[in-house]
Amino acid sequence: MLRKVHTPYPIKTVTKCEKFMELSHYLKVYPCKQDPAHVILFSTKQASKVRVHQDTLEALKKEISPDHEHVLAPLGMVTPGRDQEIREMTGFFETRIANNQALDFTIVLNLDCNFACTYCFEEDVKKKAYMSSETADKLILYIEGQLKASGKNLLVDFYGGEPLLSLGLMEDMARKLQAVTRNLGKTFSFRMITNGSLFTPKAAEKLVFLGLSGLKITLDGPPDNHNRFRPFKSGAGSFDILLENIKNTCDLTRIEIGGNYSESNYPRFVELLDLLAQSGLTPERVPGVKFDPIFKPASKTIAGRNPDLGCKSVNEPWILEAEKLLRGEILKRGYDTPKPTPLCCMIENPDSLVVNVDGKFYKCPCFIELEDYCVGSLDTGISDYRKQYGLDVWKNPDCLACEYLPLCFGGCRHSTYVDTGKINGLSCQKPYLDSALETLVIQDLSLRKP
Amino acid sequence: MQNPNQKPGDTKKDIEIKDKGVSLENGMSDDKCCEKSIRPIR
Repeated sequence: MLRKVHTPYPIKTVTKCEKFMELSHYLKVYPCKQDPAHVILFSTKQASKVRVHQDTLEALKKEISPDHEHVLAPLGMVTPGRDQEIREMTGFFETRIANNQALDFTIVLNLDCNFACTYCFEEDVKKKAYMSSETADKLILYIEGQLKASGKNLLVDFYGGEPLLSLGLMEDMARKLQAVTRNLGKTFSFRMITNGSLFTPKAAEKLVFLGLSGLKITLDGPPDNHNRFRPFKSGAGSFDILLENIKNTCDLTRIEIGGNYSESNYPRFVELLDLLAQSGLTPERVPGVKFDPIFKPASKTIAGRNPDLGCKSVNEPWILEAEKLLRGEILKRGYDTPKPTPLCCMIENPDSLVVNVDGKFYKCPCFIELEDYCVGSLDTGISDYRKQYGLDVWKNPDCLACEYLPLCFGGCRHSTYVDTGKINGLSCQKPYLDSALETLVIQDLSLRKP
Repeated sequence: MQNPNQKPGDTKKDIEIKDKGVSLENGMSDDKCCEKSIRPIR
């Protein structure tokens, strides 16, 4: 059968008499600086990387041999044609969702916190609200029903506020969920989004026994900087307590170190990396480190207090410089840090649900307590939220034509909300990825420890 | 020429696989967007 194929590259249209493949549209080509005869191909669709000779690339643009297809197809680098690849991308989430192994519940145990971080995006929703044991039991029944209906395993993220202020309830829920999943022949594990101040060895031992698989603790650079940005409510610094807790618990469960930097303080986060190593927190004990820029908070309280705090978009040029420096220093020291990979926003994932302290449902923890983004409750069940959350906002010709689509899918909905007051819009990351992705890919090839 | 069993780092091939990346067959990552993307939520 005769087929016309238009490659994503400016070469002539060819006609062939057999089924054949062409290079994926979602492919970036980056030079090998130390070996100019070769280039790196990076698939934004699968985050795969190959090194090829320039001549091989030119040949691949014209025709993909069966042998090359055999190598490149599993890496997502070739496609039967552009139309089919567009269909693949529009069904990207559905395909991945069908292969999901677990239901993922984010459970907000309270909206209280013992910290007073200067950039907290939850500032306007913080209050002395705690999930009751009645709501927790109702939630466990709901989760049991969902597990039976789906046949999937269970993953829980305990969230707050500060979830460890509800340690007793967390233990009780984990114990009950262990029993529920065991009876159904399914697996259960949980994580926490915690500030780490209450994560003592005693708490860690209990929680690991109940299924805790890991957590991330945030350290905002060296002690003086951290204590300025992440003090206790009393104003006292928290750095020393956190460092002690990490040292005392990191051999019990997987702890990752996070950190939130600003334009003025990001170079100082290198000091934190040195301090971690000096404290015995080597990559063998805390494998993952990731630093992120502080974003302009949605909170009017915080924004009013700190008008210059945080960036509005990933596209601000200084972020590239900060990422290049910090990511490079993290990798050089042997710590792991995320690679650029296809991102699946939890809003798009029907297996993912946030349950607030009062039993109301949301699709992202950034939207809790905002009535416009509530998608049901333990009493009413979940509603159709497709329009409410602007799903499919990226299914337009411009996004589908963008090579970065699999890394972005329209960007973070909360960023759009902070920027425009609405969720139904794009937070395009193209300028950032145009300037940053090559650096990130080359860093992963040259600095990442095997 | 290309061997499907080729391991990353095999420089004898004209296409050297450096990273096999992720597969759609594994479903969605259980990493939250806030963990993976550059936007922090906490």
